[in-house]
Amino acid sequence: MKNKFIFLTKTSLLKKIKNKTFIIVNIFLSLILISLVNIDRIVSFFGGDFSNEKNIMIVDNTGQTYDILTNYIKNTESILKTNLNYKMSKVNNENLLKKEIKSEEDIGIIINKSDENVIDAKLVTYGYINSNLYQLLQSSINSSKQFLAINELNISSDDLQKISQTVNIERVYMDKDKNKNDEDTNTIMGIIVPIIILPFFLLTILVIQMIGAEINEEKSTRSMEIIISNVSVKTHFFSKILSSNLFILIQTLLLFMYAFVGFLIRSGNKFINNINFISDVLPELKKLSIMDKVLPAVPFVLLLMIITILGYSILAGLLASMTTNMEDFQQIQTPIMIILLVGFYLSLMSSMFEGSIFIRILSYIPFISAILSPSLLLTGVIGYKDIILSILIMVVIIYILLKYGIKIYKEGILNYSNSNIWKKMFKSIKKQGGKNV
Amino acid sequence: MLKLEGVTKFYNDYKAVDNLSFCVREGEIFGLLGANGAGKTTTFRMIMNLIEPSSGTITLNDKKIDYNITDEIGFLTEERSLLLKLTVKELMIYYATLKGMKEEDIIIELKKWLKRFNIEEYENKKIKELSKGNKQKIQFISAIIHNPKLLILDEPFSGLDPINVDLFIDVINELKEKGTMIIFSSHQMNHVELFCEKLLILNKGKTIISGDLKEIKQRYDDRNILIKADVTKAELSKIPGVKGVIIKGDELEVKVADKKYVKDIFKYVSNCKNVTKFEVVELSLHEIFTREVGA
Repeated sequence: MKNKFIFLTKTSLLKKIKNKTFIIVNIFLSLILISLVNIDRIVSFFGGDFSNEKNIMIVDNTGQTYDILTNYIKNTESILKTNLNYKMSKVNNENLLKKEIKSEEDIGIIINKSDENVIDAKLVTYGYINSNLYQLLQSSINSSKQFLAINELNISSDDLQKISQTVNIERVYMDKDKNKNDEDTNTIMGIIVPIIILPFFLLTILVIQMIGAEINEEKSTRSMEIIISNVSVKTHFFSKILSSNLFILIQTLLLFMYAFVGFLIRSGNKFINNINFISDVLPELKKLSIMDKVLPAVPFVLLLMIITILGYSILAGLLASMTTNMEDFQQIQTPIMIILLVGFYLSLMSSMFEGSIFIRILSYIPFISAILSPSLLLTGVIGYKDIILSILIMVVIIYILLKYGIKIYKEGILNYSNSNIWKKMFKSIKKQGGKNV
Repeated sequence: MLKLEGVTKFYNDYKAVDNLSFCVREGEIFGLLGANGAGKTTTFRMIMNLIEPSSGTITLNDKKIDYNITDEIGFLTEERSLLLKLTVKELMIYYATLKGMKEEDIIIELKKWLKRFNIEEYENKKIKELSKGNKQKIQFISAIIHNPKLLILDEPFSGLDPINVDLFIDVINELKEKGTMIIFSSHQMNHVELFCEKLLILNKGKTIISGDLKEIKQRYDDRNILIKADVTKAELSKIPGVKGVIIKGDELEVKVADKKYVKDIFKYVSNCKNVTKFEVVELSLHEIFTREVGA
């Protein structure tokens, strides 16, 4: 029986991997991931007007703003690093400037004196300009105006430095557990959500669909009767669960491999430098106090995710056994999809509920806990102890699912009627004894 | 020997099979007949260990049927149970490995049977690309490839042309000669008559007829007489004991209520001109079935 279990699992896994769809999807996935990692190079390769030199022409009717404004543009651009290629020149009057503006690359700024606002500005272009460039010019003009206003008030250079200096804001937290570094976790979350939550969400959907499709294929072709007559229901069920989970593991590893290849292509000979970069970054991350709490919890989060996918697989298997074709399975799996979606959106919005007891309680709910925990962990709402509790709850749920689920599976797997599905399901749970599964 | 003793199966309150008992010996072909919903599929499922009887026992060579014993059973289901996306070879490896065969043995046996059924070229073709008849051949091969001790054939000739039916019949007879126990189920009574020495007819889960086919036929006094002579349907209908006359081509089939009337009919026909045929036959299985099940 053990050999038949291995055979069934191996056959099911190989069938999925040898499937043309899997191969085509992975070719696309590899291309997309490698391209995304190297997107800036691809954009540069195809070229475009981003490399064209902007010709910024300034008419200074105040007689004192040109130098100030050009300095601010240079400084602001070096801070923002917009990679703007530009040159600046002075033009005598507005009419001359308007004659010079002949293409998208020509930009004219007219600075006039104003009694109310110190200076007013007019921006003349051939067509539309992009928002980054507009913000750069607007910020530089505003800074120039502030500089001129301070000068008009005859403020000394020392005083001016004091005024210009950024105010040092010291943060004081009444809660001893809170600190400045925790506030930085929002930024980290922005990275973690697409890297962890979204793939988990998509892979869970994939495993549910896969199990549903495979069981329904065997049912609809009636080959289930041949298979089940040779292996126990339990062996068949677990082979489906194991093969699907192994497939998901392989798919995850492949995704990491594609990203790695992308980085290899990006780095070329400099790959070693990138490794050094990672080793430089990790200690920096460790400096953040939140990381002290996060790092020990990472294995628990991974474990929670693995057993949750297992839980979803079991649930999908049980539901698939009650249906006779893929259309019926699509309908019956809707509640699972809703649970998964609720977890996904709660996870995205988790920072909004910081401090809420409600969201903390939700983080223990099986099937939602795995998708919610990573973000709650990073925002400091929960710690590794909470994740251990979530794992324990999920394990109990899996135990219950298996205890009663095998009865449902046994009953459903040879059932070809769509009527009273839920009634049959509950009846099979109540049934005692019966065939050795 | 396959032995069913007092087997009953309930689906909730519905009794699908009621106190069923029969046995099939080595080298014997046993007919299990019944109208749709009579309980045949439930019986096959119980023999295949797919479902447990509510009461009674099923044994194969005195052993209760479990997953090791089902390796010794071949099952050809009425509805095709083939994984359509697999090739013939993949499917055969899949099914036969589950029966405990090694891959190298499966390949050897598969080639042998594909050749026997004249479909060698389909070894690497997907099942879904095959014709109805060829799918049936593949399903038949999947049921016998592991050389089972017990073979259950539920409508084995479905979708086959007469030439392939003969081919199947040859193979089934060969298996019988080798000592395979065979349970045969079909709605084509002529096929059942062709093979089965023993049979059982189920109606709504209950056994209504069981035993040796010859003995069963002898239980009925009705006779059919096939006549070729210069005599009309109307003339024959007037003879006492004649229930009806059917024209079958250039023959007349006279249905007689009791065999005691045969002599009188023979006397009448012998006086007619051009008598070339006067054959008295027992009731066909088809007639017995429709009479008993339709009653």
